[in-house]
Amino acid sequence: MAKKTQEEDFELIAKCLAGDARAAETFVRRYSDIIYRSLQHTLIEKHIPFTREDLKDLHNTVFLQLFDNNGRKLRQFKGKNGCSLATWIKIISVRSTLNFIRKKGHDGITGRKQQVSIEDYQEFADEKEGTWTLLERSEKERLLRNGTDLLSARYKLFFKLHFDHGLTIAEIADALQLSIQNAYTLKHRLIQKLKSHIISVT
Amino acid sequence: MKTACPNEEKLADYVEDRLVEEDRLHIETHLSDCDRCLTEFLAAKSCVRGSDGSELESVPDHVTREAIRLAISNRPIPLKERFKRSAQRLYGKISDQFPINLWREPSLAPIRGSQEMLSESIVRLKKTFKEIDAEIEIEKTKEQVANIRVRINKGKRRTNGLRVTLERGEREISSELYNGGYVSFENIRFGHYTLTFIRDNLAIGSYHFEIKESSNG
Repeated sequence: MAKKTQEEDFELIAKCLAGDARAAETFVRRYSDIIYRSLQHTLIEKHIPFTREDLKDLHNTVFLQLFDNNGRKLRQFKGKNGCSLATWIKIISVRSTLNFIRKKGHDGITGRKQQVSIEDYQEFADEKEGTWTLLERSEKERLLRNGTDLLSARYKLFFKLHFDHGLTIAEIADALQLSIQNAYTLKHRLIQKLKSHIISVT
Repeated sequence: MKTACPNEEKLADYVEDRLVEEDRLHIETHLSDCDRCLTEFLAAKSCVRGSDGSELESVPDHVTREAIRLAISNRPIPLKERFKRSAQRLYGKISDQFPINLWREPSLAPIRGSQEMLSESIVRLKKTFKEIDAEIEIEKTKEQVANIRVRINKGKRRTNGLRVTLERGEREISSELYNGGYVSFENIRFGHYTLTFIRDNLAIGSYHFEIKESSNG
């Protein structure tokens, strides 16, 4: 399928919002596969078991969300910064999938990777003091969480991506649009800050 | 204090690196505080910037067809059409509950003489007889069928004991005693009729008319 221009996107949306049935059909046919694949991608990545019936229901949910309430969701698309309709619809599909997963009560929605264990992370330990080693696991967790609350947004985000979601430094660099070098620098400074915090309270 | 969660477009802009520095920092501040959005961001990034999904299953045709049916049946209704349907529903409710609503302001077609066209299917006219002023409203209810409502203006002489009779040719269709309010003749087929007003067994006035389709309704 040829990539559609933003102008074509807006034209199609306008016709859909005007109640044009043919335009509604065109819209569905154009984005049906994108939505279907986005749903699968998200479910697979989150290691959530699903059936074709689940996919069909989710697929319908996304389209209903777009057209319901007089096209309220569809009207929200502005494409201000050059966002394509396809990308916007992918994000909606992802959101719908995550909501589906939460409603099903599945655990493990946070990350696909093994979370980094706090107690294994010796870089926070100040060996001269030996305090870190003596602390209980829960105490270490609490100290670090309190410490992250005092950090700026970027450091806090880095901490969450690495420890809660198990992303590697390279993956964090990609997520935050940083160079690998900057990501490592960020990590180093994060550890120093947290270490200082731990020393100050223990 | 946690900032508002970004909408899908903002998130897409962040994932695809289209935001200015200030907006990007704003989003990152939010992500550092909102676990839900952070999870969503990571999933979105993977989906948007990941592989083309060619290894995944294509959408089955029956799923697309069902979505088309859903979209068409839930598609937006233009404002003009919505207004028209709301007005029709409202009129239906009002006309069921109230008699001739003299407070209604006619808004269609210029007034010619004593006849007013209130809409495509309703005509109201005023007839003045020796002793009474009558308002007659004729409303088309379905193909070739109408309701007739007659109201007497109390401003003139007394209306008690007044009888209103509807005739077609020499045949009496219906006769009603006027008790204030209005007299109604329902499901009257199009054709020629006479309304006669009688008091004390004396006809004090009659009105001959024809109910038919016109170019206006």
